Amino acid sequence: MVNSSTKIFLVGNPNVGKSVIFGYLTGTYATVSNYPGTTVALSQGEALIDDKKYQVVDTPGINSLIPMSEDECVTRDLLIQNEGLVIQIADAKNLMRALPLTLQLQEMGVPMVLVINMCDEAARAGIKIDAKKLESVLGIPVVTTVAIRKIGLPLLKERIKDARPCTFKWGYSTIFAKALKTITGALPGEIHGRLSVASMLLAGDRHISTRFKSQLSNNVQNIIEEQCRQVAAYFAEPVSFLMNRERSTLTQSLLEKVMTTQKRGRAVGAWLSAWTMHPIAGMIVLAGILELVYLFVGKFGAGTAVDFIENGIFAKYISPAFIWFFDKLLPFSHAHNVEEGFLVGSYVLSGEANPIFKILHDCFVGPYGLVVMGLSYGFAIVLPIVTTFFIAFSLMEDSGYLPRLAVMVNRLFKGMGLNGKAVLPMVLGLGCDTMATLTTRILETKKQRLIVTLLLALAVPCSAQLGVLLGMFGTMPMWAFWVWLFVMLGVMFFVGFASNKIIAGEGNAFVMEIPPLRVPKFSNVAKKTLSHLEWYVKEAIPLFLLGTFILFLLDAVHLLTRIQKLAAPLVVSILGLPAQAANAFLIGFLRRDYGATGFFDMYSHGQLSVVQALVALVVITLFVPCVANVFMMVKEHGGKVAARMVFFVFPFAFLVGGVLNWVLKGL
Amino acid sequence: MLQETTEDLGFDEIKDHILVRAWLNQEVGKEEPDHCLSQVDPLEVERATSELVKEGLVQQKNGCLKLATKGENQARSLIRRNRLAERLFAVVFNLSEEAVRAQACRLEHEKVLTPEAVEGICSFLGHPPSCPHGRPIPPGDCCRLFVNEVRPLVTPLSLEEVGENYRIIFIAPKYHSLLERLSGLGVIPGATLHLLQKRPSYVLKIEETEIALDKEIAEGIYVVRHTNGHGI
Repeated sequence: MVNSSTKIFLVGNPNVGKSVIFGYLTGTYATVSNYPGTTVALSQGEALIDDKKYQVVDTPGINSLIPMSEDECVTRDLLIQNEGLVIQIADAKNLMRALPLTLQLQEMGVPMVLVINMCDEAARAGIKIDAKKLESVLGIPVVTTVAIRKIGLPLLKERIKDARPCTFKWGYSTIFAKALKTITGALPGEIHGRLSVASMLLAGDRHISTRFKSQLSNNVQNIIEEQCRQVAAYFAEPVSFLMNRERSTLTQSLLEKVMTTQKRGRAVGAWLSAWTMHPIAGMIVLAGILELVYLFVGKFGAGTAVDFIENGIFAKYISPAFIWFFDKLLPFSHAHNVEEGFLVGSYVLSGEANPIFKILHDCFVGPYGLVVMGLSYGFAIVLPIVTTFFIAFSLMEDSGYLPRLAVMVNRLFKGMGLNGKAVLPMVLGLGCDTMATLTTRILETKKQRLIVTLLLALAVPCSAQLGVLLGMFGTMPMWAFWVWLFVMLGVMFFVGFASNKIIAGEGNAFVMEIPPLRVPKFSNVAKKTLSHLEWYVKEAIPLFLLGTFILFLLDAVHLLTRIQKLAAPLVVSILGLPAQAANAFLIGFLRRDYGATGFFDMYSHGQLSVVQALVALVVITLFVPCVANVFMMVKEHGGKVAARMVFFVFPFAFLVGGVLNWVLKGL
Repeated sequence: MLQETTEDLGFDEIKDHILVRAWLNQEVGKEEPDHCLSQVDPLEVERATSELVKEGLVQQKNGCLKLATKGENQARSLIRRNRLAERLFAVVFNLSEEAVRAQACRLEHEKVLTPEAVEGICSFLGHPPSCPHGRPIPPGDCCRLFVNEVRPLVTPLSLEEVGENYRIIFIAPKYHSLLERLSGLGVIPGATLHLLQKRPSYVLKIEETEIALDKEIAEGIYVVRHTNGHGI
């Protein structure tokens, strides 16, 4: 039945294990976590099943084919635009929510297979499902699995060829059925899945009616509008809700035939889960987790690991080796300075030098050399922190703690026009703001997405930035750190609060599914961390090198001193910093953590006082994270919005710095 | 049961039913049969109609009945009584669909339910916005004042206690898109939920799904306490 280039769409409610099955079928890794909405964009891969090639598409989770947020819209659009077969993945504990979706897929008329996943968890909860019976009722292959342990997956592979449209007998109540019949009849034949499109139209789905507008004659549009109007006028409650309700009621009676539930006592997991969300115990758990993360990322990652790689490897072996190599390759009379017994990039010139040799030499191993500055920064200072952060983050994600954190901070976020759900992009932002900006898609309203994007760009330091900051605060008095933290949180809440008032749009109601607590799987944490690291090395390291190269160029043509003069009024008068601080700000436009490194350098050479360093760090933390982040903002919200945000962030950063300088000087 | 009701319809009841039908037609903009009138002598219906016209409750235009302001008020309270009664029988006694309809047809008349009784039922049910079929219930004075003198049977989840099971009777959210989102998660009328906590956010469990939500949303979820099995 199925030809060689068939597409397989993995569809299902959020957090049911679509990405795990995707990984199994295609052999490629898609981010897997215990958090609804992990997959925000489509992943594609090829699978070879029974010597046939399939194109497998992993989709964001949906609860209904009438989309409520952008990631849901992605899945729905894909299904109505493409032909192929669907593997619907259901959580065995939650068939009540999965089967209404099956009914909607049936309306589409796509050939499908139903996977009932997490059967182990369901069995523990006392749920028994008669898959055979369900298969005969629905008329499609039903496979039970425990995907993370690969149980049942080989069988799934075998049964893909049996995929066929669902033949369950059901119907809506008369008033809907009549309207659906009229609309389906009016729709032109070339639209596939007409019944499904009709029910989306009847449910008042805006996206779909604009999509098909051009394909429909005025007459047909009028018929549809008239039907929708009549049915809508009949009820006090929205039509889509009533239709959902009918599908749910139907599911309920269907499940009574195929499912039995035995009540079990509250498991250990349930107690633990309750603690993590308790108003008081939850705060203690949160404090404990923060402490652990600080010890692991701040102390171990930013301290021990950075120290080892930077001083133990880069300063001792790699930098001197490259300096030695380039000195031999491009000889000119100079002597590199020695710090703590090892050669460093800066040097003293003795006599005339070949200008070409000197420039090439400086480009790689000079004070702003790609090797001694760019690579050692990217790999030695930032990489250990990024790694430890993502390990910690993956653990939190896979255990299911993050949604519980959302429950804890929901109230706090409300003041900023957000809700608890925004905690995921905000925490992820501590790893990488660019990645987090992409993840804002899980939020329901445009307004929330805009506010979170702005806050990420402004006040959430990414792990690269945090690394430098933690390193620097380690050498500064403790109060400096608290002042910095206070200013950051203050700015975040102030800007969040203000943008909540300014940005138009309603509704930040908090509704979120809380997945069960699970013990994270080591292999998944490792895979996920590696895939984040791969991303980091590909995206960030080239930027580090580019930044270093620009610094080098500016230095080579003596532009740095000129820029310093130009920026003096701002840097010297308002922020009270020495003129060279302009260099760091300049490079901070490219990557703010890189700017911070500049200050780190100045501070460790005694060129900045504690107050100056603090002011500089506050300003640079408030900068837009990096160029890649700006690109992501453009991609997600368009050039106009991104430009507005950028033009707000930079002046605002200097403004806050100016005020802080003024206040600290006054004390 | 339907037959029993219609046979002993008095003349006033027939007049009431004509008003109801006129209201229904205006509500949806087209003809709709009134279940209670189908078995009544057409001559009686005609006589009642002309009397309604005489009393200034309805106007007759091209064979169609249109409610005058006075008739509209009367029809509104009829509809209100009818749909509240439907709610009452559906929620409290879990009656079948036909039984609910038949009972409601009997109870809608003013002779049966006094205004005080209607307000009592309305408060008892937590001032529901719609009947079990999703049709709107016209609000009365008690809804506007939202007096909770009677301890309502159906209360917002926010007034209930943690650790108990509740059956969802209806959901009246601040905006409609929320209803769809909730129903996608299985929060629908008829579902049984277990309230796990109220602070810092509400967490409830339906089947095996745990759902967190705001207090504001919980205020719009109307429930009755659930002991064992169905009903209360």
